[in-house]
Amino acid sequence: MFWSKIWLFIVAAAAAIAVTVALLLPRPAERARALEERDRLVVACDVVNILLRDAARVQVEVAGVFARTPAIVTAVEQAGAADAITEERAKAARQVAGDTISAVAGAKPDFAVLIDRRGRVVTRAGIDEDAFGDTMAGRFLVDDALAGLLRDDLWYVGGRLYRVAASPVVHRDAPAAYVGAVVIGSAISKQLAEDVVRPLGGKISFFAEGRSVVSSTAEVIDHDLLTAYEPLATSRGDLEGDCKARPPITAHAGNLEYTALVARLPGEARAADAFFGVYLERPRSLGLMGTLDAVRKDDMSFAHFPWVPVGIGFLVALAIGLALMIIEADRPVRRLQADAVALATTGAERLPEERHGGRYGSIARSVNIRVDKLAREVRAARRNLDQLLGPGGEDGNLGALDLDAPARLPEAPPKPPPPAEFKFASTAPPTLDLSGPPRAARPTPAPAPASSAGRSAPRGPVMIPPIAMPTPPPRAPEPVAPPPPAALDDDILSMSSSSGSQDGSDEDPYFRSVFNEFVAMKKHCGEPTAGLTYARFADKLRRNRDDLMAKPGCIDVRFSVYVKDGKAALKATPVKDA
Amino acid sequence: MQPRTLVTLALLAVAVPPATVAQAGPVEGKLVPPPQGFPRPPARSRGFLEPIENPHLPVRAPDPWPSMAIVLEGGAAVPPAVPATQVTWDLLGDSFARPLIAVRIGSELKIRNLGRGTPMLTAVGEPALIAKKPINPTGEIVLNVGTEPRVIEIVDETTPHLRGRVLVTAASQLALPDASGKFVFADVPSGAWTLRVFYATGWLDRVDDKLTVEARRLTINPALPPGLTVKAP
Repeated sequence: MFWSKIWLFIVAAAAAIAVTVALLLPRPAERARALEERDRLVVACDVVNILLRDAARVQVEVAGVFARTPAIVTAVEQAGAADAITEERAKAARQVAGDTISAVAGAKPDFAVLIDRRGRVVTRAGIDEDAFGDTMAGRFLVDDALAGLLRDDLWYVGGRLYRVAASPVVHRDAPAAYVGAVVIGSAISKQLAEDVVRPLGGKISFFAEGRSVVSSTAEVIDHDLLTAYEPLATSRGDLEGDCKARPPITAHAGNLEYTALVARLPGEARAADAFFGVYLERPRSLGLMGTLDAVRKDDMSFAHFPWVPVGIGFLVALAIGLALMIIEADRPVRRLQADAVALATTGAERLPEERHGGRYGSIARSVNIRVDKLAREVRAARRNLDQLLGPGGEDGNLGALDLDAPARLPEAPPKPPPPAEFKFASTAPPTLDLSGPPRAARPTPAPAPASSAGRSAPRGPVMIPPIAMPTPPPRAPEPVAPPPPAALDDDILSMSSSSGSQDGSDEDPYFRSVFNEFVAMKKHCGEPTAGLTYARFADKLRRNRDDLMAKPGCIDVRFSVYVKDGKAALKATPVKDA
Repeated sequence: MQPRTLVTLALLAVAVPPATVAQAGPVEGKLVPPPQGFPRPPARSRGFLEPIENPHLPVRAPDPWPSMAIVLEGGAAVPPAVPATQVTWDLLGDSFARPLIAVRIGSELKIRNLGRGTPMLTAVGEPALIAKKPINPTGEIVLNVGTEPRVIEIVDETTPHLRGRVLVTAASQLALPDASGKFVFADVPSGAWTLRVFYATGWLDRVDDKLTVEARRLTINPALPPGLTVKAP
């Protein structure tokens, strides 16, 4: 899986780099856009100032035209000579002023005020027309006009901002003299605000005394703009530098974002903290998601997007990944799976470890270790069983073969059976009496004389002298049958006929006679004989005989039935070769 | 002699003990503008454009006389316990009738609103001097200037242009020049006096005129300094 992991790392790294690039790429564009926005805003702010300045210039010219109108000069001069301004005089002057306003081409002023040389209002036209005789001298614009200057100003009156302009009224006929002044004005309206920002594509709001006076749009961003104005309020810098003095701010109106600049307004309105804010709606295409939103259909066309290289790259990466997966994972697993199936179904004894490498080889080795362990346990169980049927004890016999006794397996690991010590009961071969019928089981004989020479028959359990049976011809050692189960009694009583002949076709007469004698002994001892079959009994005798005859020097085996602990028992005695 | 002066003298003749009337005399004169003329004050406001001078007549400096007051200080005998007087100061609209008014210490100042607006006047540095409430058209307020000689600046909190000054002085002889600069002290007790001229925000930086008043008319024409510079406070 090594190369697969390496490939996975490469693909993951490439994906991470791609995501990083995708996230980073919009940022330079965002910065460029922010700079462009700032420049646009500064330009918009300067343009607003230029437009307002142009409008002021036009207004000053109109005021000059007013002041040069002969009817107005006369009205103002006559009013200045009177002690008081009468209503008739005011009305007549108002008519003149109204006619003059109507005659203005282009943007007409909203109002006009005629002022005499003492600074008294002769008349008003267009606003508060019933008011006259009060003194407007004292206002900076009026004082400058009465002194002979033409100029503009910005007034904040009654909650509204007014662009005003004034001109001295001069009696030009000799002797020339200042006779008064004319003031004209226009309110800063929504229409003016919209006209100012229309070519800029932005929005504008005018403020005074901490509140919005007029705005070109319904969006409310007053709080942000008022906050941005606070540092400007105490600034001593030139008003014309306000547009470049500070960076734009971000303002919010609902879920919309704006970039805004604020600049102070000149004139008397400065005392009311008059300023304007110009702002542009921030485009939504900033940031990764915004950039994605801005993608158009033709951006995804074949002419603008390298679909073919991207597709080929994707397929190549996919093919490499699949190939590595097949080579490093699929095939080794399939191979191991096939060998495991073969182990389970065929006669294979273990998995071929050399065919599997890496972790799969480790799996195969672990399986083999377990298989080997099971085989050893089976062999050990077989040896234990053999040990139970193994060579006799101290009297030269192989020991009693107690077919009915429960099996006793040695606890120690199975060891090869010790060499048998043959001790024969008689040096002479037993005689085989073929004249009579097989003798029945005899009662327990009296103990044999102890002084029998040459006889090494052991004293011990009561035993019946060996039956004089014709010596069966020497048999070729039969092939060793598979080791019997550990419990002998269980084996004889429950053994199937598979290990032996149940139909009696190959019945051994000697075995049959031993069997009959054993059955008779059991009956004599009062033991049950149900389940005791000849086939199993013979098979047992046969295997035991084969094992003993496999030892060197043993040419035959004699079986004898005796009583042990009140039960019928069977002993096997090897016949040594002379 | 103008009728007004005659009436004043008659009143003084009744009010003042015979010994004082015999030692009093009028002092009159005319303020002499500086040779360079009156300076144009700095612009108080500016719009989008620079001011344009009209092509027909030269731009004139504002008339300084309404912003001046002449005071005679000293004198051999100052009338004891000068009675408190009430001086009326009219507010005509966007300005006072005179931007400067002179009153004696202990006097009352009555401000009448003859304009259309409703200014809210306050004394700069002395917020308790004037009740903080707007003055309706045709309304008036009265305030006591106190006993400390000083200059009180009164402004309108709602407009930047409406402001005036009150010269509170202990001097007993006060005069305001007319539109041509002429002034008259109707009845000045005999003695040595010092003539001082106050302009706008302070005393003019000039050598005060010393004069000795006797029981006859005295004419003096104080010269005003160039640029109408005022002394530092």
